[in-house]
Amino acid sequence: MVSLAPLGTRERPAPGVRTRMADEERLIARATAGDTAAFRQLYERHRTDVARLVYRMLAGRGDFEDVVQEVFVQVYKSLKDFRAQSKFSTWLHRVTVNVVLMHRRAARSRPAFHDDPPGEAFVRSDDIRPDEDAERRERVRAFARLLDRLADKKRIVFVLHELEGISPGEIAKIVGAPVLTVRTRLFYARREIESMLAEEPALAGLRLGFSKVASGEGET
Amino acid sequence: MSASLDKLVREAREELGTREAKGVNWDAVDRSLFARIERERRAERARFFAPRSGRVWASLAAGLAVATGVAVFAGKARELPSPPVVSTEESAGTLVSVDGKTGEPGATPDDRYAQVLINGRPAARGALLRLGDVVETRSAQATIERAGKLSLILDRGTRVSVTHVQGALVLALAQGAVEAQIVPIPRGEAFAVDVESARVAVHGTHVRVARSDERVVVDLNEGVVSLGEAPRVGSVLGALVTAPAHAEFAAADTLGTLTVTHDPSEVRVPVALGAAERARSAFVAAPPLAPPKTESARVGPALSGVARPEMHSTALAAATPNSALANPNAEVALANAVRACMAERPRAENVTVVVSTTLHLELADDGTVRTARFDPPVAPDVNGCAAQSIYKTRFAHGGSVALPIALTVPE
Repeated sequence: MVSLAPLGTRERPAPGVRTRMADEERLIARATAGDTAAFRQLYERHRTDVARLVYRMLAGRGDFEDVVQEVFVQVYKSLKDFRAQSKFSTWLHRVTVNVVLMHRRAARSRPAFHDDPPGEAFVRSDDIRPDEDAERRERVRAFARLLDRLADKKRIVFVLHELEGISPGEIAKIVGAPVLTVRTRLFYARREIESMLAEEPALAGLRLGFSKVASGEGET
Repeated sequence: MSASLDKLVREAREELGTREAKGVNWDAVDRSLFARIERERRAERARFFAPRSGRVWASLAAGLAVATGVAVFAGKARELPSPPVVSTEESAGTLVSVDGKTGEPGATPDDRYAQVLINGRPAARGALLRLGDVVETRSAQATIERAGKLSLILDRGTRVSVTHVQGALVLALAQGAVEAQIVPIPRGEAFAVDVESARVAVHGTHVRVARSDERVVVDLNEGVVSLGEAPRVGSVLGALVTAPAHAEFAAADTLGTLTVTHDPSEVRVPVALGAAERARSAFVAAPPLAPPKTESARVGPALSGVARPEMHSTALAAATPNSALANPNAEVALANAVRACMAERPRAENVTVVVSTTLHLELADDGTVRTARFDPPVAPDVNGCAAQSIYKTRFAHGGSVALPIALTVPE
């Protein structure tokens, strides 16, 4: 399977990867010509990566499966416009980012249903001593809440770079902005998350435990 | 990046969304996705084959009708197969004229019409355009009219396809430019131009949409347009741009790349368009919106303007701002009127709608409203409804007003 995440940073693909890419090009050509079986293969190759990216960009909010579906509907409808001037993964990321943005904008213009980010209802009790996995999960949920508070543009570059491992140059192509702008957004995204880290009570508490675990103090 | 954030990021990289992505019920997603894709394929086939097959079926049906009549007349009626249902779809419009040089001395009108192709064949005067038709202009420009609804000109070197005809007319612009004068309608969108996934949708206005590769240029002389992603159904939820305006954006990212200037000198001079122009002038009693102060700004959804309503009847025009008395309680009255517009929106039962926005008004010295915008924006139909009250209101003072409006339904 051609992984979405590292493609952005690969300069010269290894021979095996080249074969897969050539195979993918053939699939794209067939899918563009209306071959549904080829489209299905493309979809099956990329759906998990797209789902993960959508989940991250939505910061765990909403019906992300619906958004994933919407991404592939858009891919199907727009495949004829894919010029192969950029990598398929870059184009797929761009489609995904646009669909997520449209979803969030549409959600904002709809009445609010108090769609809380994951873990909002998490109640921490002193009587319970969660195991390390549970703490780790809670940290990730708290982190998702922080991501959710970022402005769309900053969250997108942060997720693409820090979580998906895509280079700023590739992100620039995905979001249609200069590389410098991407780097600036990344800088401010990090800074905002750093400052929010202190404001987030759940995470502030976790930070303490985190430091203890990290330094071995938390171990018994 | 601090060590704490660094570790959080590392954990999130491993865990955030990974389990969820693996845990997706792919069977359900697959079924739904491929069912939608199949519908898309069918719709696409219908778009491109229905008009032609519709015409074939119409001929066949006519032939069958004649055959049936003959059979009955001869007393030999037999059970005939049910005639296929003949589509009664609306036409997209009629090709009314072609202007331009053919490049040959002594060229006739027929030569000019040869410069316009419909589905790859030279057009004829009066040709009807239907769903799925592809229209190309070479060295001539074509004028198309949709009786009582709109007139449009396709520039030289333009290629469009007709993608929707029921109610609103939607053209997909592959290259060139389309200029249109649309008779205002009370609700919804009358005309739209799609460029890739972007849509320029209009309710009633004079607009020109030009495409140069992936760049889209919109010149708006009257009214309001919505710019955004082409929706599968319903209205465009995007930036509302009010005239006069010159807007540019990349088709792949409408709102992210949109720039708008309201400087009238930047807006392309409109071409006088025929029937729709006449229909409009008979229909619209109110003068067009006075140009707002010159501004050049990058706008997004948060800067959508409220268009002066195009639907003033004569009675409404009698109550134009200039003739209205200044209302000392204009702010309260206006806020109530806007809330009423919001409250009138249909909503599902058991749903609480919470709206919070600010209406920014620029007032003339005589207290009349020159420009208005909601920040954050409100739904297009609320915009339209509110505009009816906003531009009728006259304040006791000039300057700027920011009117916070909050509403919870049910209270």
